[in-house]
Amino acid sequence: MEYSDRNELHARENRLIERFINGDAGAFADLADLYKDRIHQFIICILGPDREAEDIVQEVFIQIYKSLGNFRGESSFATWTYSLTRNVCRRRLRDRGREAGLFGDTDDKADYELPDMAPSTEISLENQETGKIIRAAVDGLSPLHRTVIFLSCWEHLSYAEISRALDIPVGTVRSRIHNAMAALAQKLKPVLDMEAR
Amino acid sequence: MKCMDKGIFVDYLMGELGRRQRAESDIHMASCAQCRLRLETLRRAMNAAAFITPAAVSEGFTDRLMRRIEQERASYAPSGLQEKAFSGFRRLFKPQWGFALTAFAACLIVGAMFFTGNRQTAITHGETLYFSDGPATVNNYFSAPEKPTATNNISGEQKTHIYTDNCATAKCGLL
Repeated sequence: MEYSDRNELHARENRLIERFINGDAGAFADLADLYKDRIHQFIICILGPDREAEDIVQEVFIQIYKSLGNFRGESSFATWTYSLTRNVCRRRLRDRGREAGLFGDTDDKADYELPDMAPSTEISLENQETGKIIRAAVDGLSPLHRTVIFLSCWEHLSYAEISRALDIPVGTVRSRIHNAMAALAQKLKPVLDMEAR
Repeated sequence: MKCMDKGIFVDYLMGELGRRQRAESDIHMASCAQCRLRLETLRRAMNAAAFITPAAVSEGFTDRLMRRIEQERASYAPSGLQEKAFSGFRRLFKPQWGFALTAFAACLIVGAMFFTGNRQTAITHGETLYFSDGPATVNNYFSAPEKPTATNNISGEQKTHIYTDNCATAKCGLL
């Protein structure tokens, strides 16, 4: 779900949160409708395709339900939610006995170089086939790159918000976005080259 | 101006550059085909990534979620009687009472420590047992004969009984 006006989205979220805190349970269902797909996608970005992804989305919403009364609004609801989702995923991975370096800021030290592309190359995004190729390319990236692409390109969060959501320094956010984009450009290079012909 | 740092490209595309820095970058890129191409490549990758729609959850997700929340609430909610008792407890014990009780307990503990810690053990002039070859080292278990063989003032006020080895041996059989 794409929201062109972030301010409008924030205002709507805040109204729903206020209604929920004042005892309107229906407001929580609206909040869930607003965020269910986005949290689902974020979980897939962290864990990869996972058959328990929907269960985890439920777990995240139950956590939100229990702790929304303590939400002080110091950060945006989106940042708070993604940070909470990340913690739920982390716990789930720990239960499965694999946490690896998915959550640290040390696993992205490689210097990603941008591929050389023809200046006139542009992907025709309307093409459904191209859409599938792009999704496959994003899915083929590392969890670190997928999560940062999700938060920056889809959610349009600022550096500071991404930093809070992922619990990494702002400098790491910058370099990680660059590396994620460079890695994606490398994966999309064959498509781009083909389109240029 | 030298070629742009990779962080600047991202700042540029994310709209995190200040007005002045952005103007400087524009001037540089106007004369640098390499940086222009790099920015363009990153921009296209970003546009492509933004094109994807999030993977949707299955139909009826919100209904299932709200049912589960309702079930969890029901399992945790206290029964009528428990609720009454709990609300009575809450009425009786307000948080500020807890703080007052804690402070009172802390005062009691500190007071007890002060009075007991200040008291010194009364100094009594004990009896030191001496054998003919020196002071007794096991006098906790030593039973001396009722009548010492000699009494002496060795160290001023200290009253000292001197026993012979024979007395000790005769009495306890250990020394």
